[in-house]
Order: sequence, then structure tokens, then C-alpha cells
Amino acid sequence: MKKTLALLLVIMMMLPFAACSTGATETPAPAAAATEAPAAEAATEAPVAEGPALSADGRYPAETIKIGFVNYDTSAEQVLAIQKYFTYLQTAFNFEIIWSESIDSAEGEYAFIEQCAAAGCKGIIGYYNIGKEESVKLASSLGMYYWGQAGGADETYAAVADDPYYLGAFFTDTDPNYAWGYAIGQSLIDAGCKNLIVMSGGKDYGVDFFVKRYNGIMDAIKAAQDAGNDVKVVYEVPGWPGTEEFAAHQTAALATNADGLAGTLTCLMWLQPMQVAGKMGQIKFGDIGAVSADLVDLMGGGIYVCQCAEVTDVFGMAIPMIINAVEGYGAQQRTAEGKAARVDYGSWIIKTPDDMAYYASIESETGTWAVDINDVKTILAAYNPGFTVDTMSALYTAVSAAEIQARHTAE
Amino acid sequence: MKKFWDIIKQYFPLLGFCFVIVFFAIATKGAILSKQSMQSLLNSVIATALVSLGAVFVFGSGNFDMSMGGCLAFSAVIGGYAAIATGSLLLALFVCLVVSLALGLLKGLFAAFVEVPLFIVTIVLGSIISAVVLVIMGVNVTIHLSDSMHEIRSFTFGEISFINLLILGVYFILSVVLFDLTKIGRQIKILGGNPVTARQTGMNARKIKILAFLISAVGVGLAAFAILVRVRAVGTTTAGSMGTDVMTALVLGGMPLVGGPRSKISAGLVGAATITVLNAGLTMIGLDLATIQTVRAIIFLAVVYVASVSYRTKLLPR
Repeated sequence: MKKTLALLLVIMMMLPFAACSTGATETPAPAAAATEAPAAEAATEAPVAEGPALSADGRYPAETIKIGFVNYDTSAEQVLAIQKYFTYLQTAFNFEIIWSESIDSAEGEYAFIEQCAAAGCKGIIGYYNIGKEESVKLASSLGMYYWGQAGGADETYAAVADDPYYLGAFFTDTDPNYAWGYAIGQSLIDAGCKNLIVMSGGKDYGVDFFVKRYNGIMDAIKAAQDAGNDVKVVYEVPGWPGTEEFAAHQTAALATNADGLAGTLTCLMWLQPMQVAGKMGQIKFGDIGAVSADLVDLMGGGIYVCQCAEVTDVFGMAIPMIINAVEGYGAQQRTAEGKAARVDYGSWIIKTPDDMAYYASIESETGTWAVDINDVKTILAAYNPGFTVDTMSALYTAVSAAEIQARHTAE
Repeated sequence: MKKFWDIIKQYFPLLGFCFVIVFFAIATKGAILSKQSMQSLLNSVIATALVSLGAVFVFGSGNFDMSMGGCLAFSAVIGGYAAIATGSLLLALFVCLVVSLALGLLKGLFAAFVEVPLFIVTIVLGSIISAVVLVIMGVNVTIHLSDSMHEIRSFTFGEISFINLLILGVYFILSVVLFDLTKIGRQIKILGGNPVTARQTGMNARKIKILAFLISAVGVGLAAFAILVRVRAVGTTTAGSMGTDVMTALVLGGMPLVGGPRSKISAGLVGAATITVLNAGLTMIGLDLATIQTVRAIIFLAVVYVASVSYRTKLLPR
């Protein structure tokens, strides 16, 4: 008897959790989402002159839009940054995110997409995609818009580009990964490094972006060698941190006479081993990671000479694109041929502590963000009826400190 | 009164499942009971349910298998390659079953003839199989049926649900018949309950163990095919959490992990359905991830606590 009562007590404990959920207080409309067609043609008929209809708390649009976010690692630095940015956008835009748990398989991805449809989501952000075009087709068949690169390959895009529920994402014809790798290699060489450790990440596993980053680093080294520089690679560290193999390679690499570390991923996990090995300050870093206030001092102290970083705000374009589509302005954000958008985007190659300090300060809860709420409104049809994919590309490529400051000053 | 609580305890897993359904029906304002949601739940539960049903035979006989996820991934990947090479889903089904049965036979032989704790053997076997999958796939993390040169038929959401229902229905009936209505099922329960007594009755324990693993392997093979048809993409991460999912499902379903006469086929189905509805419901009501994990942990602990009241000292495997 007592044991059963204990169980009931546990159940009672669960109720407040559910009651606290905002999702539980809303009216999901999966059936409507599943049957409605994209109202792209309605774009010209939508009233915009008097300003868009807002919710009771003054956010656009009037009705909350639920969006599912497919995620592979709930603790990833970039995911946490995206969460902060979305929280910032939610102060002006009426959307709600259902975050997936860490998904590592196609069946998990499909189950989450289906659950989102049942929960009344109108859109899916495919931050992580294993099913490629099949994930897009599933979301489409359930009446939800899909934002994301869907695997990133041109053939995948081609397979779903005509699907009105596929919104597209940021793409670029000149992949930045190679340029990032080259910039890292070049910066270390310019800083006088002669003996480099190269951290190749998933290159040996054939992970495309790691291969490109690695090739960029190696080409920069080769170009310097061709120009008479005697720079060379003294050790290559494959794989990811967190494994015994990686730790063994790390120890072996630190036993060399290396004076530079080129990382296809963040090098921060080298700081402690370097300190233990007594090499602190003897090896300069160049890597691809996320901007952080912690790096300002490291860059000022000459440990970091270069960091290439994706701009978190670029992922935020999913929100206005989904809102546009749900509100009936989908056609405006498609190409002239009616295909899903391929929005150009920029990234950061940071070489000075001032730049690092600036980017780290804006990309925070207290900052203004590179693409702020007013910027986002320029690609929402309800606020800017004339916007096109080119408007979006112009916004998301203008992410240098000077461009951000100029834009925000004008606002 | 005591009799009343005995009945409650007996049907606790089913009552728990009903409670979870009612709770989330209220919390989601009926959304979880929509047609689309029910189809989604069926599609999500299929793999865990098929493997759990088969696992009842293995666990019921007093054995232990931690390699089910690896076996499923291996079967699905080989079946996937067969489908990509030939364009035939029927061949993929055949390959999934054959590969799974071969692995089941291997495990059965170990259980029957090798005097090493099967718990250890299956953990090691699972790791070896996962490594073999990595070797086979090379630099690929996932293979996609869409990469085939042949046209491989894809199914609509509704068709997938129908196929899943058919596969699950057939295997469930087969499992019920074998476990509850035949000599094999009775022998499995006796063997799980008391292996010494079972041997003294003249029962061929080795044969029973091998049969239990083979029946379980059919479930794994069917689950591999169901995943392949549904997601059309399988790889090294496929069914990665299946081992723990199945154990959780069996405990939630009221199955003693030591096996024996308390073992019941319904545990596989009820447990898998409960865990699926629970996961889907928590996602659908939009709780943040930390809260989801906390609530799920509390519920699991509570269920395991109550379910183990009558056999707490015997919960751990031999």
C-alpha cells in the first residue's frame, strides 16, 4: 500500500512539470498543417500597409508558430549559441521551438519529425540531417515546411528543390571550409611557424567538410614551401577529442618541436595538455570554432593567431523563412524558377583580439547580435513586402564588424 | 484487500500504459490520439516492439543478450546493400532475416555450449559486430536506398504504418502461440525458472536455448527490415540504443529479467508501447530537454521500483 502511494506521489510530482510547459497550454493544429497547401500565391493579397497583425504580447505573427529543431548534440557549443539567439528572436517573433534530444540515427530523426507534426509544428529546422531528401519528403508529407541543407549535396537539393514545403537554406557555391583551412595555414606561416601539428578531425573518415579544411591547410603549406619557406608538418593528429587514441596522438605531437597547431576543429582542448607538457606559449593556434570572450586574451597573448567561425545568426534565417511560408509569403523567398532558396552567407576569419572581442560581445545574451531583430524584419514579407532571396543573401553575407556596425548605426 | 492489490500488481504494466496514454491525451489536448500521431507512434514502436517480443524468449529462458542493437544494425546494413545492389526489397527482407538468424544461431551456440557468462559474451559480440559494420561501410556513416541505380519503391506514411502493423501483428501472434501455447514456450519458462530442475526433467536445455535465440533473431531481422523500409537510410548508428531500450521496455512491461514462469509475451509489447508513448508525449508537450530527462528518469525509477516489489532480490541477471 505504502509503495503504491509512493508511486502516486511521484506521478503527482510530474504534473507541475507539464503544467509549466507553454506547449501544453496551446492549441495545436496538426490536421490543418497536414492538409493546407503552401499559400505562396497569396503573397500579393496579404495586407501589409497597416502593419502586420500581432499577438496579444505584441509579437509577430499573431498566432504562435511551432517549429521542430533536429539536433545531434544537445550540448554542442553552436547549438547552445543558437538557443540563445532564438531566445533573443522570440522577444519580437511569435514562435516556439521543440528541441530534439541528441539524435544519432535516421529512425530517431524520422520519429522526431513525426512527433513534431503531431504536436502541431508548422516547420522543421534540419540542423542535423541523416535521411537527406527523405527527411524533407517526410516533413512535406506531414504538411510541415523544412529548412536546412538536407545533407548539403547538390543532388539532394535538386531532389527536393521543387517541393513547395522545402524552403532551402544557406548554401554557397564557393564552400568556405577550404578557404578557412587555407586562412589558418597562411596565418600560422605568417606568424613565423615552421613546424606544424595538423589536427585533421574527421578527414580520415571521409567527412566532407573536414577534408576540405584539411586540404586548405595543406595547400597553404605547399604554397609557402613553393615560395621557399621551409615550413613542414611534424605531426598529424586524426579524430576527435574524448578518445584514448586522440589523447595518445596529442601526447606524441606535443613531444615534437612543433611551434604551430592548425585545427580543423577547435584547439581549446590542447591548452591543458600543453600546460602539462610545459609548452604553453611555444605553440601558436589557428582553428575553426566558435567566437568566445575566452579567446580574446589568448589572441592578445599571441597564442591564437587566427580563428575562423560560423556566424550563429546565419542559422536564424530559418525563423523568418518559416514564418514567411506559414503566413503565405513563401513565393517571395524562392528563386525565379520557383525553387527552394539558396541563400549566400558570410563567415568570420578573425586575426585580431579587437575583432574577437567585438564578435564575442555581440554574439551573447547581452549583445546586439550580428543580425538583430530589425535586420530580420527586412526579410519578413509582413514588414518588407519587396524582399527577395537576394535581400536575404545581402543580409547574411554582410557580417563583418564594419558592416554590422554600419547597419546597426543606420537603425 | 490483499487480493485486490495482487490484481493491481499483476496488471500494473498495463495500467501504467493506460495512465501514460490518458496523461498525455490530456496534456496534449488530444493531439497524441490523432490519426497521424497514432500512425507515428506505431512507426516508432515497431523496432523496439519486435526486438522486445523476441527478447522475451531469450530472457525468459534465463539468458541475457546485450548485442541486439549491433545485430539489428548489421542485418539492416547488409539488407540495405542487398537492396541497393538489386533494387529488391523482398531480397532485402530475406537477407535481413538470414543474417539475423545466423547471428542468433551463433549466440545460441555460445549460450548452449560455452561456459562463459552470456552477459559478457553478448556485450563483446555486440562490440565486434559494430566494428564489422564500420569496416563494411568504410568511410560511409550511412547508406541510403536512394543511392541505388535501381528504382526502389518508397511507401507513403500510411502504407508504412500498414506494413508495420502487418509485421508486428504476425510476429506477435507467432510469439504468443510459441510462448504460451506450445511445448517450446513451456520449456523456456521452466528453464528460466530453474535450470537445474529443467535438466533433471530430461529437457534438452541446449536445444531450447538455441531455439530461443533463433526465435529472437526473427524479431531482430524483421525490425531491421522495418527500419530499412521506413527510413531508407541505415548505418553505424542504427539502433544504437536498442539494447537499453529493450531492457527498459521489458521492465516497464513487467517482465522479470531473470526469466522463468513470470515471463510474458505481453511485456515486450506493453513495455515498448509505454516507452514510445512516453518519449513522444514528452516531446509533444514541448518540455525543455532537462525536464524531459528528469521526468523520464523519475517515471522509470518509479516503475522499476513498483514492478520489482515481488521479485526485487531476483531482478539482476545471473
